[in-house]
Amino acid sequence: MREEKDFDIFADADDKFIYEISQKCSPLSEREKERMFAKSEKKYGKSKKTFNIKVKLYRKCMRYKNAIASVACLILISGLLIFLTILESNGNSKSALKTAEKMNVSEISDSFYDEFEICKQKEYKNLDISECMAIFPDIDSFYQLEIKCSSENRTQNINLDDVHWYFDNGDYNNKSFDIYGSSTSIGEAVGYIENSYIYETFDNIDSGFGVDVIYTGVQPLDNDKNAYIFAVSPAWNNIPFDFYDRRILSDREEYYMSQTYLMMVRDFVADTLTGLEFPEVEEVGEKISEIYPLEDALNILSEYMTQKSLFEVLTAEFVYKGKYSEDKLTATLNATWKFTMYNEESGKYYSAYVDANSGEIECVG
Amino acid sequence: MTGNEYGALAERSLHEAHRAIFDDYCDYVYAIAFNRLRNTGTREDIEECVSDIFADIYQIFDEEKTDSGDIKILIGTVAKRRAVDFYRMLNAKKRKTVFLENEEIVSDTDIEEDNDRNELRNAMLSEINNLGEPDSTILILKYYYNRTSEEIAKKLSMTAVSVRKRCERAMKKLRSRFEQLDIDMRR
Repeated sequence: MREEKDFDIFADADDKFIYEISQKCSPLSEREKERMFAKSEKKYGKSKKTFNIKVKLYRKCMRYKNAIASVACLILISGLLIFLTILESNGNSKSALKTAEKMNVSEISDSFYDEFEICKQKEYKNLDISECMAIFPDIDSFYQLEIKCSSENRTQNINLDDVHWYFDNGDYNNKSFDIYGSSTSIGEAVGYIENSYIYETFDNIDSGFGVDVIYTGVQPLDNDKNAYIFAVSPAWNNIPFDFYDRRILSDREEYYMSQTYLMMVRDFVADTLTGLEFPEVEEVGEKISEIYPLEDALNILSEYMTQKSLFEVLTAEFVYKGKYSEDKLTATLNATWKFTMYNEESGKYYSAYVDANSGEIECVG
Repeated sequence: MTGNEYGALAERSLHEAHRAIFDDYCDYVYAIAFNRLRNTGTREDIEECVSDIFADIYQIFDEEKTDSGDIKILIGTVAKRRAVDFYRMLNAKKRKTVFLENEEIVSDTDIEEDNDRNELRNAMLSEINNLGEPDSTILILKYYYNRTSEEIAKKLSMTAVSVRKRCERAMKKLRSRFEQLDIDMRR
């Protein structure tokens, strides 16, 4: 028989007593609470038959495997902003703006994939968007952001040659791969990264932050096991960052995207491959609840691009894009339509940004 | 928080709704799970149980329309059921005999005894509260939640030595008060 101790009577307390005790004081640290919350989110996600990670279509993109990896590497490694001669403007982007009308962000959220399908059926002079994949976050308004830029170096040299990439869209949420621990679906893995990972890993980050999985890779390991690789970006209120951060080398500054890579070898345990940072952030200006819709952004892009060549639009995303201050210590982030494109003639990949609020266009490669 | 408030929040963001319900009821749910598993499970088991409970709660709110009433009762019920399941599972794992006294068996003869014990517990809690802060919190963390002096010290921004000293003094005071009231702490 167990020896009786002081206050043993508390052991089988009634509801009222337990409630009073719970209101009196909490035995839990913030870290313990965060851990339990993250676990509850993970278990909730696993218990759901279908994952609803935003409203993404999910499409296997074999043909873009190299394309997407190349775009990522190009942007990550070079980090240079180059205005391209091939993007010579033959029209006036402002003329497109004259006919463009802003829409409520919530209306765009509701009808985004319908509008996207309509855009795919349209014929543009110089854009082919028939195979484009698109994402719009679940938002109804946003602010301009100001962030402090990081000056820390981070590892860039990772080998992703064997990785088979899936753009994060939706159709393949239920596709499972054997990783250590269990057979885990892409939807479950992405759900863990987007819903629980940062709460389990980072202390004291602003609650507005999240991580956005841009595309998911599957890397074969030994023994018929695989590892998931996630190309992720910090996100503020569901809008992913797409800005160039800087690193200072001994003799020069380089710029790189905030996008980074996470790896999951064992189920629901992730680690960073290239470091993931959350900068100091401040919402500035007035709340923005009206923007140019996708179709207008595509019109602006089409007017801006040369008509002498065809550009295959690979992806359309809604992101925060940064503009640096002169001293490069801070950046202003605006919500922007981002398009990645491929031009067969030059064999190169390009990114084009259309500011969702002002309609300004910028192209980089 | 009411079911309707949760619903409105969930329409905006499911994650925010989960966070709000977790923040509001984490301590309550933890106390329920702790109460059931204190002699059976480890602290890790209790954490697992709490996360299971919240996953169940999110699921219930997904599937059922909740009314505008206080959701505390619903949460308390889900927590107790899940904690009992967890308790049974742990015992099954350990192939341990489950003593009848630990199971939820209610009979006519128990009701009167239960009432006595409830009254006694409330009297004890009231006496503990009369000790004032931080002594009352120290005693609850130590004797209800089985936290070490070091953990309590960290939580209350004190040293472990002063937690021990305060605890000794508070217990002495409490014992003498209980003697006056004829309360047996080990009942």
